[in-house]
Amino acid sequence: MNYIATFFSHYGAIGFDRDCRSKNIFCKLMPVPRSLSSSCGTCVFFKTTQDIEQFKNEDIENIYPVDENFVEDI
Amino acid sequence: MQKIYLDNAATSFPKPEAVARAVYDYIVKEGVNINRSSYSKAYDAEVKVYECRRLLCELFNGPGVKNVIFTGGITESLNVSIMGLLKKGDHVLVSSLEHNSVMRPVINRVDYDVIPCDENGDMRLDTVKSLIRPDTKAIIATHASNVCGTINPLYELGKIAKEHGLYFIVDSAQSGGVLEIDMEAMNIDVLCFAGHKGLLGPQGIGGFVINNKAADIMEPFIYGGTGSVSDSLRMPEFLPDKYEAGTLNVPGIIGLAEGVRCVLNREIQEIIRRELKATATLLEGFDDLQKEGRLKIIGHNTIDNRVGVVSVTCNDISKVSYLLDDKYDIMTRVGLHCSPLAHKSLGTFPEGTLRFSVGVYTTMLEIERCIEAMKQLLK
Repeated sequence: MNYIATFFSHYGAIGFDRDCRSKNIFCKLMPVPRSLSSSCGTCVFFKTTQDIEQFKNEDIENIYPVDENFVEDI
Repeated sequence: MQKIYLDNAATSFPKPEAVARAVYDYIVKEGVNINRSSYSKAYDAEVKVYECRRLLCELFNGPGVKNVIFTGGITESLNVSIMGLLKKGDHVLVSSLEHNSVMRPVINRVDYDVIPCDENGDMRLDTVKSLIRPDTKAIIATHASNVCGTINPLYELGKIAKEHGLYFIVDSAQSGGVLEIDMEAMNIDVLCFAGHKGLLGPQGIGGFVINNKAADIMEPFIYGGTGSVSDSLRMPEFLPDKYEAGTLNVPGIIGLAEGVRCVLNREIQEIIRRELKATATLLEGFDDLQKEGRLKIIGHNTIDNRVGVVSVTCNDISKVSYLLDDKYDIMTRVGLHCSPLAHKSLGTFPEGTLRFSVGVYTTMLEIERCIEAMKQLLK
């Protein structure tokens, strides 16, 4: 499954990106799509089959499922 | 003649080459801002800034990476902490050895009492509890004196602060990167650090590490854009953004990361061993002069309970400092060192002292040349 995580600050986005990379989870920092409202302008696109609840922490504003072609489409 | 730098208490020199290289490379090859735009170069820079926070959190055993806040320097950090945590009408305890970066915001904000010390600057711990009042809110202490090098007992002070529900704010200007600092074990609520001294980073960067208890209460000092919650006129409540309005000194942070990396690689125990070895030799040489009545060492005349900051008084300290530079290329600092309270506590006010401060790169040959120079000048 593909997801977009949004954050309260860039700090949160960078930390999440690091965590994903350390777990070999595909991820990409990118601008938040304007269709999504967010406190911070950077989000992380990531792919995982794991339970999404384990990714949530106090720095994450929201996690949205997105379709497979999300990265190619933007 | 090769110049000898013995003013590391003012700023450390030289810096590791990796620090200078990192600053240069960032300005020349990267140069972008962070926490604003969303492109890969900005993210690369943000990763480096995150890493610097992580290294500092590791060095100080801080509560969390996001609890590491960057400022323009430790003076700013102390002002932010004191002004943000304390209100008019509050009372604080300060040590006898405080620098003006503590005392000036303190006298502008709160009532205070000074914890007395003995003739070597060692804190009279037995007096602390008797100074605590119902309106006492914090204990503020430097870890090590920038005048005489004496170390304050942070473990004991932190224990007292915790027992009495007081905030514990620490100035680590002379100890960051030199002495072990464990925020958790020492019960430190706000640890202020300088980037350009023992942490071997460039000037213009410093910060503080704040625990969540203090961060819940402490007001920001600077309000402005953070690249977050941009739909609101209010400062964010979450860290680190709450205390980081405006553009950060990104090249400074990236340089600081290399400095902290050097400190961690070298290990604190090795750094203090090197510095105290040089200091011991310096003190032995000065003690010979002291026995002849030609100078007086202020504070401990051994390496017990001190860092590598050595102050002396002698005949015409200003002239001696000038001649050390002019004839022997030895750089020192003379005067009150922005610490009138410390000098009053040590009995060297208003004349001040001549200060020698070693660094991790100070060599024994430099120390021997310094002793010889002083012997020549004071005969």
